[in-house]
This record gives sequence, structure tokens and C-alpha cells, in this order.
Amino acid sequence: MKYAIEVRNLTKHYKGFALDDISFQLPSGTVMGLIGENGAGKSTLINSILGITDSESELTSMLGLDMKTHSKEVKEDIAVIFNDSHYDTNLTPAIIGKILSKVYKNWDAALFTEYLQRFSLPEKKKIRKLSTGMKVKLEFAAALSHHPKLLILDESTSGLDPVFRDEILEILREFTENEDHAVLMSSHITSDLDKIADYIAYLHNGKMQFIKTYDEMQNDYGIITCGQELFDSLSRDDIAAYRKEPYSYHVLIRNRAKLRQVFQDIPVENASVEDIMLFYVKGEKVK
Amino acid sequence: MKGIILKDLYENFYIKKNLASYIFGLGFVTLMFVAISAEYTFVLYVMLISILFGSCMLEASYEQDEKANFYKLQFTFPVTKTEVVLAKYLLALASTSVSALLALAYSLFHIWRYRIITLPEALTVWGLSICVSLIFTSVVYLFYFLFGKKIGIVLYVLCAAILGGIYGASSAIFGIDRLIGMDPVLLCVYFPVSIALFALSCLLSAQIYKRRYS
Repeated sequence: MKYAIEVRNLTKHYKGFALDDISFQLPSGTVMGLIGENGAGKSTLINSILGITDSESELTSMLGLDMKTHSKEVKEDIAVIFNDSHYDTNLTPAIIGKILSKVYKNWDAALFTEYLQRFSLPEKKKIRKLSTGMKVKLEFAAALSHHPKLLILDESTSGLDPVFRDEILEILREFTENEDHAVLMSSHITSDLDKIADYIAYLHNGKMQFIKTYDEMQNDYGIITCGQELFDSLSRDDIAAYRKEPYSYHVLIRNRAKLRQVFQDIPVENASVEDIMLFYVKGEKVK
Repeated sequence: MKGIILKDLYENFYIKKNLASYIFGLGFVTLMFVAISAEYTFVLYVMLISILFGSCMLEASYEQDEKANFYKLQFTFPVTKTEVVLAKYLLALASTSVSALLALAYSLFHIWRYRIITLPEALTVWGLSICVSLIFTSVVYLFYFLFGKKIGIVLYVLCAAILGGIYGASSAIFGIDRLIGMDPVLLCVYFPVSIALFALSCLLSAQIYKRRYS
């Protein structure tokens, strides 16, 4: 299997925070959603794998090349979009295009113009006069116009209204139609990931809690509501986390099929990405 | 690197307030050059053109980069941190060259119009202005990379004031004739030294930049 990103034992220490021994693989042709609460380490992880900040790792490779030795080469084929524009707001989309044509070897000016037209972005309007949504669209137009193979989105759909977000998700769907392409997308808006992610990686306090395919998550996780007696009879291994209410327990089950074998009549609700994240953050763990 | 240089050029000359600063500065010096003509002012203006215009490219781009937090995006480009710094220094070298040509044009005009100094004297002052410009740029660029824009600009003004003070004091103590009549052979020493300092400043700035954004 070809991997767009392969990270082995990545560690990054800050004062009071550490990314701890992170390992994951993102197969080509897929979308991975990176979730976690504020300060969980999502941006630090992205910055570390991109080499924006220094980190230690056994291996950090992108598109099959080691980032320590082939960083420049790899960056020709990747595009990163952050949650706000980092271009000078006095410049115009047309000027951004001219600058990027000198940055990337495979810059496609015609494609950039096509994207600007598709997104209804005026070429000569200063960035500061564009709306938040239009700025993000400009970021996407700029990011996609050098034919990248890997897109990394760091909270880039935050702050967008649902219509804009849907358009962006449509672009990502088109992008991943090519089997050589991949997307790593960190987002707070887990409903976006429900729509598009093939894999979900969950980061909590600098530690990778799990990486699962979206289908695995849907099949494995479930939520049950039960009383004390049933709660006590559940296998501790099957409980990912629980929340105690005055007269009941809400339990996130990590092995739905196994539970069904033992307790056939219990109603099990589907767990969304958001539910799982909330249970992990706010719920209690069984001892 | 070309992309970074192009971006800095746009930030220097496309953004109206920055362009206005250049036009105002150049207009002021031109006006003074035409209005007051003496040996003392000739040296001052040639130095001003070479030094100030040659070294201020980084100021505008640094300000814009910090405002937009462009660094974050820049590090996702296929360019190393060393190349980013190198791009800034190459642009400084280019702007120093353009300023030097401008200063040469002013010098030739001065000789033709006022005949206060001779061509060899003017060329000596011009050559010296290039050396001083390179050294000045080396120092202030290092300060920018070391301390960032806010402190960098304070130190820039301080360095310019110190340089002005040195010029004023030396012309008062030794006389302006001594400066104008300087042995041109000395430039053969000053020029390589200023180039070496410029290269050293570039190397140090690259190390500082890498450490700052690690």
C-alpha cells in the first residue's frame, strides 16, 4: 500500500506540553480527519510533520520520501491550508498567482484563473476587501493550482458558513477522486468529517488515542443508556468511556458486535465522531 | 527563492504607503541635492542614497510578514529557511546595487552641474558609500533577524543616527577634504571587508532564523 504520510514515533516537547510518540499512516487516495479538543496537539502535529517546527521521529515521510532529506522536493507536491489567510492583505489574488508561479515549479496559471472564476473571486480586488469565506476560497485556489498530491488542512473550514463548507467539501471530494491524492484534515467541525473522512485519528493531550477507518468507527462504537445493574454487568474492556447521569449511565461501547451477542435487546445508538470525541474528553474511564 | 524575492518586491513597491515612503525619501534628497550644493552635502546625500535606500527593503517586508504571519505559510513552500534568509540578502544586494547606480547618477550630475568636486573625488566618495552601505545593511539586517521588527526598527534608526554622528564628528574633527581626498586604494581594502561582513551577517541571520522558527 502507498502511503501519503507515514509517521513513526514522532515526539515534540514544549514547556508544559508534549506530542508523545505519535505514529500513523495515511494511505494514498484517502481522507484522514484529525480530531481533538483545543490544545490537543493537532496543529503541533501538522507543523512537526511539515518541518515548520523541529521534532524528533524515527520516520516522517510524505509521498514516499523522507522529510528529513527530501523536504523541498516533497513540498512541491503538497499544499497546506490554514484557518486564516497568511498573505499580505494589501495584495490581490492576481499578484498571489504571480508570486506562487515563482514558488512552485508546476504552477498552473490557467488552473488558478479557472479556480478564481469558479469561486467568483475578483482577480484585482485586494485580499483585505474579501470576505472570510472568499479568503478561504483563495487559499484553496492557490493551494490546488500547483497540482498537489497531498492536501493538509489545519482547521481551514472553521469560521465558514455551512454553504461555503459544503462547497469546500465538494472540492475535496473531487480532489480525492484521484487515487494518488490524499487529504489530512484537522477540524473541530466533526460533521464535516462525518461527510468525507475515510479515517479518523483522535488526538488527546498530545497522545494519539486511536486511528480507525470511519466505517470501523461506525461499526464498532455505539452508545447505550442503561441503569446501574446493566452497567455493572458490561465487560470493562467494552466500555470506552461513560457519563453518569442522576438515574442512568450513558456508555460509549467500543465493541458493538460483541455486546449484541451478550445483550441482544439493548438499543444501541450510532456514535458520531463528535459523540466519540465528547465521551473521550468529558466522560469517565472505567478502572 | 524567486517567489520570496518577488513577494518582498511587491510588498515594497505595490503597497501604497511603502511606495510613498520611497518616493518621499527620494524626492526629499533630490530637492536638497538641487537646493544645497557643497562638498559636505554632496557626501551626505550620496551616503544617504546608498545607505538608506539600500538597506530598507527588509523593513517593509518584515513588517508585512509579521502582520500576516506569513512565515507559517512560507515554511510550507518548497524553500528552506536558509534560502528564505538568502532571498532577503540577495534582494538587499540588488537594492544596494540600484541605490549605488542612483548615487552614481547623482554624483555625475553634481560634477556636471556644480563642479565643486572632481570626478576621481566623487568616485571615491561613491565607492566608500557602497562599502558603508554594505556594512550598515549587514548590521541592521542582523538586528532584524535577531530582535524582530519592533526592536529592529529602533536599532535601525539608532545605527543611522550613530553613522550620522560619526560622519558629522569626523568631518568636524578631520575636515571634509580628508574624506573626499581619501586614497582610492583604501577602497580595495574596504570593499572586500564590507562584502565579507555582508556574507557573515547572512550566515549568522540564517542560523538565528532557523533557531527562531524551530
